[in-house]
Amino acid sequence: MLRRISFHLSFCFTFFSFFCVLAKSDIAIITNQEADTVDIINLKEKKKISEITVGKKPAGIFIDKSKKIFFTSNPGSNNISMVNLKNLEHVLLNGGKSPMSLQFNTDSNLLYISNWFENQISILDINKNKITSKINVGKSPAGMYLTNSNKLFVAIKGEDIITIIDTVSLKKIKDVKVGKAPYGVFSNEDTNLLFVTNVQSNSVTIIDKNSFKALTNVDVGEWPYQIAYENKRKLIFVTNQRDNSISIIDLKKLKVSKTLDDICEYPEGIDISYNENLIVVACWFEDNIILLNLESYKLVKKINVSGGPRSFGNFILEDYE
Amino acid sequence: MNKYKFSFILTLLFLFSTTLSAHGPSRQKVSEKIQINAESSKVWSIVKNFKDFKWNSEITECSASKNSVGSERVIEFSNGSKVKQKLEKLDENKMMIGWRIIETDNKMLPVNSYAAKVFVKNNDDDTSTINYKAGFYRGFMGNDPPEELNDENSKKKVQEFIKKSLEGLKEIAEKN
Repeated sequence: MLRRISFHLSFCFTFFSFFCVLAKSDIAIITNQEADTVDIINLKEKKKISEITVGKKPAGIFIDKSKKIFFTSNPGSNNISMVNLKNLEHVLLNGGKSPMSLQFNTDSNLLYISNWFENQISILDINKNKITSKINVGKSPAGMYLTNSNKLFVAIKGEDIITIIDTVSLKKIKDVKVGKAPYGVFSNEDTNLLFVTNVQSNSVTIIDKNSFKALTNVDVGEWPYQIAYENKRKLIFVTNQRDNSISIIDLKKLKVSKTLDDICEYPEGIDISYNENLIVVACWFEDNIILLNLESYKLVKKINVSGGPRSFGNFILEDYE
Repeated sequence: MNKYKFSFILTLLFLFSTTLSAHGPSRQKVSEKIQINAESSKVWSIVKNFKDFKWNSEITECSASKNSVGSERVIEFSNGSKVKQKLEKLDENKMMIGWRIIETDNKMLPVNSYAAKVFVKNNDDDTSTINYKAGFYRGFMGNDPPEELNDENSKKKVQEFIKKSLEGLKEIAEKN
């Protein structure tokens, strides 16, 4: 009898665990600039599971993994969408004019917003829905990255520099000269390096996050936009919007080791799902996202989305339930 | 109570922000297709001839020296507008050509950062399908554009231009 109960319990446990494994999945959160929506893609099942209407012309995205919320910048309605991933509840927050890139400090609940036309960074307290500070920067601030040590790196597209701001004192620390028209700024907690796409000089500038020095410029394809960092093999993947390609830079050699051609028309947002072994690319012109195998780079699947996918920022959340 | 107060403030802020809507530019796209009753090789020979782009009936002149990547051409329209384009991509195997506008006249094509590609595809029945794709920003890149240079009207102008160009291409290819 005991043996039978034990068998049943173990069966139930196995079944339950299996169900849990099935229920958990990495998700991709896609901002659709032409549809004013965000699509949520289950990367295990490889299909769209939700569509959420947000503000107008959503472009930038930031996911806060600990709070299970995400933000989108909505330059068409000059606000920010905040979506709770537990119940998909959506609220609109102040964003200043023409919000672009977003970074969030989960401890202080402060959201950093680059305002393209205003030439400033707005700092929003999300609990009070109040912009508590504004920092003037150069012309056309675009991509940003906030480090754990409270340094905010901002691409100043109109002035070919990265401005580094101390978010405690709210003072500029340094301007670093990069290539022409810097747009995307990407990094990761696992690396001391920071990567900048220079749209008009077709290159990526690599900066040391601690010394604030530009280490090198690597030539890539035409109009590089966004970057995903791969921490196992120390690679970065760069979408080249006008070449329809992805340049893979080997960070040990600091040069392009491979180029993936004919990816899709206007590849933009790019991120990695380690659990599903996938590279996910938002294809703006084609209104879809493509899933590539992380090692072979072969096409796994194309998934249609609502329209004009951009996902400017890291857009994959691991182990979503 | 606080929760309700917060929601109320959020609603007010939302209404306020939407009435002030000043649109930042977002990229626009146009993709048009046409089927032509002519073999793809014949259509491709017309399409790839960068220096003689006269498919659009509103184009009166096209001056360029070469058909190689990097070449520039100036197309002149019947209303006097001039648009300068640069040949950026030419792929014989894929039958694809791509160019970019380097100087425009907003009266004709109100765009910024305009890049276009034309693909010629062979069909089984000896016809061809042409796909003309363009990605661009509106004619006015700042905030609060004048109506004629906003997203909607810029896109409309590009759409009209591309449709007319494809119709002209069909006429030329099917005539000879």
